[in-house]
Amino acid sequence: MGVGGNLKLFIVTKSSELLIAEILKTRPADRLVMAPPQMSEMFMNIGVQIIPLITKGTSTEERDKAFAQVAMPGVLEDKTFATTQLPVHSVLGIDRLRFWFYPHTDIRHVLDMIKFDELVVSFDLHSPLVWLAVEHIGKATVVKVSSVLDRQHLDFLKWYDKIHTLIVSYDSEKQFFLKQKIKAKKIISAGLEVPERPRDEKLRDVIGMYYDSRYDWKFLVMLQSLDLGDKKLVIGFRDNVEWEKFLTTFPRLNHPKIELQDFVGITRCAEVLLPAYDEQLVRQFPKNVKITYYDIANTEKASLFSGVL
Amino acid sequence: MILVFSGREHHKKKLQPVFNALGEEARWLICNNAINIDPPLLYMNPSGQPYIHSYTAFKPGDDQLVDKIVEQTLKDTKLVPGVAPWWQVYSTREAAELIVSYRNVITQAKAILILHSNNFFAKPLAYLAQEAGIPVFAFQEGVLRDRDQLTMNKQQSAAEYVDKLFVWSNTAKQQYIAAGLKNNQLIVSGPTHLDKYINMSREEALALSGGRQTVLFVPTLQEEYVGNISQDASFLHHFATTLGFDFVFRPHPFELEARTYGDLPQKLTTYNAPENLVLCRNGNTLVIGQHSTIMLEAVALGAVVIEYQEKGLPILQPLAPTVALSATKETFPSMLAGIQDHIINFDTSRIKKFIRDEFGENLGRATEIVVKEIKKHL
Repeated sequence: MGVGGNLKLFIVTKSSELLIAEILKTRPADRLVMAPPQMSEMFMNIGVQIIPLITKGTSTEERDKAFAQVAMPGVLEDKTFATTQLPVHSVLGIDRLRFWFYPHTDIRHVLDMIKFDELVVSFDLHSPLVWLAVEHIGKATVVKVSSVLDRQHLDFLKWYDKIHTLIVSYDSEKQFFLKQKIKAKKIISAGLEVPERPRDEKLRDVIGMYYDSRYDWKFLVMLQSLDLGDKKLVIGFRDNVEWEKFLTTFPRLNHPKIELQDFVGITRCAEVLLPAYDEQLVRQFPKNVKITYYDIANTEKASLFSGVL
Repeated sequence: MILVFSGREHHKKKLQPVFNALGEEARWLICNNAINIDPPLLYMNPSGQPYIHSYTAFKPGDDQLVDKIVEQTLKDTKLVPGVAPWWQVYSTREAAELIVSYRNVITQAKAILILHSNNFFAKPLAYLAQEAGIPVFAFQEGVLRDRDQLTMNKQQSAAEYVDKLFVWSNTAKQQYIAAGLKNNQLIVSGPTHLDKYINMSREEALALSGGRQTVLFVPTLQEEYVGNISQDASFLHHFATTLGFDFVFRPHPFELEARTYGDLPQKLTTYNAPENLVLCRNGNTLVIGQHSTIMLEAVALGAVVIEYQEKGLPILQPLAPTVALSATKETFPSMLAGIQDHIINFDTSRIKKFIRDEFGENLGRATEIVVKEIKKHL
């Protein structure tokens, strides 16, 4: 990486209007954009040339061997879970991180062959490649490419210290992360306006409960602690697969006060219980639906993100 | 109370005989499993069997404890290179939730049973149980692969924080000892999940499967399989049905749940067949695949086993020629057409020795041995 110049290297694994705007405001001569080949058409349409990020496969045996070196214990050596002597690698190794280990996505040798002054990447927590690059270079500007208001993004931002600048969409997101004391040195808001959710004046005076099989235990707890009074309970599902899972899990849940509905049905309830805050999901509810969240041990915790937007 | 841990559904299937034999003292212990397609409540709640969901045992203030564990554990921890960080933060929080919730429930337990301790959800449970002085029992889950021991020390770690590990045979016991386990940690019991099928007569199994002559294709996971599973399934289906066999395509349970092959398994399966092990027992089924536990189980249950590799490339730990036939795209049709001739040429004494080596002397009474041993420690 050079010093004092203007050349920005963008590594894009996931895109957003925010990230595209960052790329376009950099002069073509001052930027290099690396992205997977499947994004080439999209970039071509906006007149941006890319260097394709090409990956190759490895055998299971090679992958397992490499993983054992990297994380068993590898970089997790001497780390134990707080309050225990239980090694982190023994829990997270074989049966979790190994499945998501992609040694063939290594980009470090490519970076060593390019001279650039600033690394800008997608804030894509699902990409191993992005973070291999950030770790290798030591610092980066990270641009929001999807919702950042969830536990994983927050845990990551409070832990990871190689983000020089974090670019988010809204001022309220910036304020939230400042308050949370994340490790990024600088937070910039693009100052976008939070899209307004429409109101629905014909909401039903019933309690809705959104069923998500990933949090089926929360559904059990919410159901047991629910005081319906004289209201009806509407249980709603995002699709037929979830509906089917619900019927399989609770075959005996049959009560005249309980009604099963599709997703549209649940968005018409005046009051709704959600098992977790999910920005995309919440955006689909009218503004005047009263939403309560449930999380481990209390509901306040789950509301952490709900006041941001 | 004896807590029997079940993660994904195959845990319950494997441990069900022991759970049943333990009687009223046994309770299933399940936990959250948000990233899998088969969260435990999905199969446990409808079963009507008694269970405790560890996440329903959270107490006020536990959320702060979880946060504290996450923060302190991540502090100074490095990012694992090559892994998407989402998994590292997600899994750290999930492990913290398990630690806090398990601590709330294990106080009631006299013993903990897990399938094995390589499992993400079972490892902290075994650790915490031992910390609390509660005995932990685990089981050999399937065929022991030399490669897994060499690359990941998997056989040793399967017994980490485990007081007694029930293994299938003396051969397996020696492999565990070679991997570093102590002799007194190992009990040769045999595979408990096979008892029911070993004790099932051929007539019973035939009655359950409708007496059809069947080709059962049970490939291992695609990442372990040499070749293309979808293509092989279609090819095998074509020749099996042409020659008058029924055909059943059962991918590895993980891939079946994940719908890796879409509708292909339903499309190629010609009838509503019973579970794999009943088919393996009925004396009327040819079992085709590559290196997997079900192939070994099929041998133990007396089925004819064919290892298939399209081009005859080497596969992992082959069973042929000792106890299995070996076929390629070229040889499979004629082999299937004249299968009786091939079976006659098999040396049954070799098969008997193989079964003894792999599954030990206790086939059919493993559950009884396991329960007797557990009760000694209560």
